[in-house]
Amino acid sequence: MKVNAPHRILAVAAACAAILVGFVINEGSARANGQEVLLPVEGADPRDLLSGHYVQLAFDRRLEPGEVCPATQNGDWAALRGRGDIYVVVGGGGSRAEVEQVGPLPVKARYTCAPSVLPSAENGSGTPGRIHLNLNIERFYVSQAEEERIEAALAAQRNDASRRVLAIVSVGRDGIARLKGLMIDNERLELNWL
Amino acid sequence: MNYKDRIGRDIDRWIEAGLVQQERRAPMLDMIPDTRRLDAATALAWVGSALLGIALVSFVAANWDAMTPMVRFTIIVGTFLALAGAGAWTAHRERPLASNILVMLAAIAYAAAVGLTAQIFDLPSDTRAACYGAGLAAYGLALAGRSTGAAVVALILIAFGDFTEHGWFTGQDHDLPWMLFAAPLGAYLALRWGSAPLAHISALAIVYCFMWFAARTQAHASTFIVLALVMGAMAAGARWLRAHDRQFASVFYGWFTCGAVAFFVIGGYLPWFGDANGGITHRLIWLAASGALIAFGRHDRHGMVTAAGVLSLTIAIIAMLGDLGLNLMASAGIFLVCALAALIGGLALRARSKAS
Repeated sequence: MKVNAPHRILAVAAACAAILVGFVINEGSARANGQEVLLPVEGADPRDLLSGHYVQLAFDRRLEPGEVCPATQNGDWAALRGRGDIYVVVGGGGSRAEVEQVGPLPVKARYTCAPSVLPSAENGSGTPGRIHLNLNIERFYVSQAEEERIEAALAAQRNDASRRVLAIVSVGRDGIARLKGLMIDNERLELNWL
Repeated sequence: MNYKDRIGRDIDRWIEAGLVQQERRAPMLDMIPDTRRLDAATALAWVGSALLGIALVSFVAANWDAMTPMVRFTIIVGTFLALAGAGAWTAHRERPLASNILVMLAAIAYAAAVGLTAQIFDLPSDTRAACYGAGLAAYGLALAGRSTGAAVVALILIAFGDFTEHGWFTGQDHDLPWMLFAAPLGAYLALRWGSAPLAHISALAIVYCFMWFAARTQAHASTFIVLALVMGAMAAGARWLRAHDRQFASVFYGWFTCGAVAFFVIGGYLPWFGDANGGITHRLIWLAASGALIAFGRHDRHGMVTAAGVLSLTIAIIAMLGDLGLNLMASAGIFLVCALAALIGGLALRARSKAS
């Protein structure tokens, strides 16, 4: 049976649309059913005229005094562990099973860590260590008003080294981290699809 | 005055000269199809449609922030489906040009929809997967609607996917580029559907697959020379197809020739044995090959091959002078000798063709 061009075009277009809708439903389900964690986050504001307003997110955390960097990562998985109200990176590995030995919550992510530099005659007062977590989440799209409020909070956090902005992240069973929203001054700003 | 009018005037002159009979005029002109003319109503309809589209896009953009994600998603998926539906309708009405354009626009709309969906719902970003997915969808639409425009979009999207987050030319990336399957498919469709734009982009994509292979290997002359020979053989194959009424093989003939010359030239500057490069032997073969290309280009009436030959010859002469370390006077003398040889050869060929 030969299918003519109009029917072929419609069939392919319908399949493409169905794949896109299915992808959104699947992602929404994974985000809703994943384990929710709070992660420290910092920001910058490179606005993109074609993409609308967004906040550029960086999952950076300053190490506490005396805290050492986790072992150098060799793989695409990281292990998270709760510390107070947030989750922190405690190690990495090449597979889910490997990182489950290190920490309770495995996530597909890569991290880099710069250790603290202690105060000395050469280094002055020293510099705190910093760990950067790459979760493949880079942007948080918001309206202009919200974007300005978040930027203000992030700027204040940079200045006084407080922790005013946290990312609400859902870690699915597939290990992928999905952004659910931000917590700004203990107020949840969640993504609402409807 | 269009082509048909000009032919009509010529026929009138031939009738006056007694070369053509008067009653032959109408049947001869009937063999030439009428040029499609855009009447005022159609032109206004097109302008109106374009302005309506701009108004819609502006309205949506102005209210984008105020819309919920689900409304935005509905708009972008609806736009894609509307374009695809319009493409299907024009295909049903047997308007291939309009169908081709609309299916191509649908492919672009789908690519935009994939990117915007990730933005609207703040989904984890994977640019490479998004480009590959949109590229496959564009190829699906192209095959379904016989749309050369959608096939071009597919190749561009797959190329974006290949280059996103990849380090092909660092020698550290071991993934295979998707262009390895997309480029030959594009070339096949270009020849089958007779599309010059698709032929150009497919030919370039095939050359880039060769570049990817070269980048994976150690920078050694033998690899590049073998690649040049393979690409030269492909150019010869395209030339053969062209001679057998596959008109669009001409595009591949031109690009593969350029690719073969480029690989051969690069190969000459890489180490052959130990640290030494091809040296004067390579330059002499390069000069001879450039001359041969010019001859082939002229013989086949192929502008691109001729241009590649002329450009290659010029660079080869400059390279040779650089290798020999000649001063300006010596260089001027060599150029003079080459110019005289070319002039004498040309005059001799002309004299022989007149005699025959």
